[in-house]
Amino acid sequence: MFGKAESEMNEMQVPKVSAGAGSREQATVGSSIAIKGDLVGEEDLVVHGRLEGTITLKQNSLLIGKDGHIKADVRARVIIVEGRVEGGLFGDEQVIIKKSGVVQGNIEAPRVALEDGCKFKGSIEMNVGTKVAEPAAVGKTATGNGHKAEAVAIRK
Amino acid sequence: MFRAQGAAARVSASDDNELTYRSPGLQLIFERISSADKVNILDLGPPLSSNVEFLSSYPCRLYIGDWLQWLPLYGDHWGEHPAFSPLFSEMLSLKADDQFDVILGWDMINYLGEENIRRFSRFLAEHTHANALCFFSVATHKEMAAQPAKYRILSKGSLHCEQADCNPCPSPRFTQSRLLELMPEFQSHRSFLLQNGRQEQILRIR
Repeated sequence: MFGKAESEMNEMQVPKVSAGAGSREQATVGSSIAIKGDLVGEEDLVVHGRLEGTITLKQNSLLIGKDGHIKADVRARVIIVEGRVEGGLFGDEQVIIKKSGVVQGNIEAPRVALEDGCKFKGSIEMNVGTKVAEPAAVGKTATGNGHKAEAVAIRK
Repeated sequence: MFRAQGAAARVSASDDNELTYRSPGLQLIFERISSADKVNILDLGPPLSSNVEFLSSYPCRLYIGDWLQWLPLYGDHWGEHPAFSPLFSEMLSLKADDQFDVILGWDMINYLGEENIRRFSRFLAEHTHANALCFFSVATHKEMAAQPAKYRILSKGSLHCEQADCNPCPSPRFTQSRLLELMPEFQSHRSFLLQNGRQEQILRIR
């Protein structure tokens, strides 16, 4: 399971942690683990279990696996949701909700991607404080059936 | 006032269940979005990557109220189901002071029964700014698909409609006057009759 999670993070092209910005270590909360409280760390984290409270990984990535269930406000550099989240997601770089993801809460991040088929209830804050050039038309090939949501919302 | 868009409205049809077409109503909506410093947008469709991507280029807060996910709970007659309307609050998780500038209602109006349209109109009016615009795509042909479609924003003035594979059912064929009777809190801002059987209604609050 650990290896699968890591490969999926690579598939989503999650930016690597730059040297000095934090540890490249990765911790895992297993599927039988339940944690209540505030979690702060400086390494990437994969959650397959349950977590309730707050999560702060300012320089690092958080992957919530398909079996993961989080009731918390989350702040991380990159947040990828394959499981269930009830709470706010604050990504310093990017938030990605995968097809299997179920999110109830608000999202704030410079880049937000929702994969078709995900369940989302809440709001997404776009373009905080900046107005950007209007978008070009989205090509049919990028939006038809079966399109995987690599259509990441990138703001300058 | 109707504006017939005629042949120009239809861009392409990839198969029976998918249609790409020009949407003058959507264009009007984006004129509103572009002219504002920041807008609150309510999208009443399922979360679609392409729509999030497109809207992310505008300064806005996007609320997604995926009402379609609730339908299986109410069987075939959810349009008239009295328990459906209380879900408006549930499905949107709105705070009392949340107010919208743009509401993308897509084709949901065709699938709510008349009483639920009245309830929905009251609900929307409580959460709508004075200059807000609401976009609805109203079926005008005798029949329509039995399930609502997914609408992907391709550009400021074009949509890609993906219809689930389902049998046709009778369309309510709401006229503008009937729709406004059911939604007395709103008035018509513009409407566009498209050749593909849709009438795009842009409503604003009275």
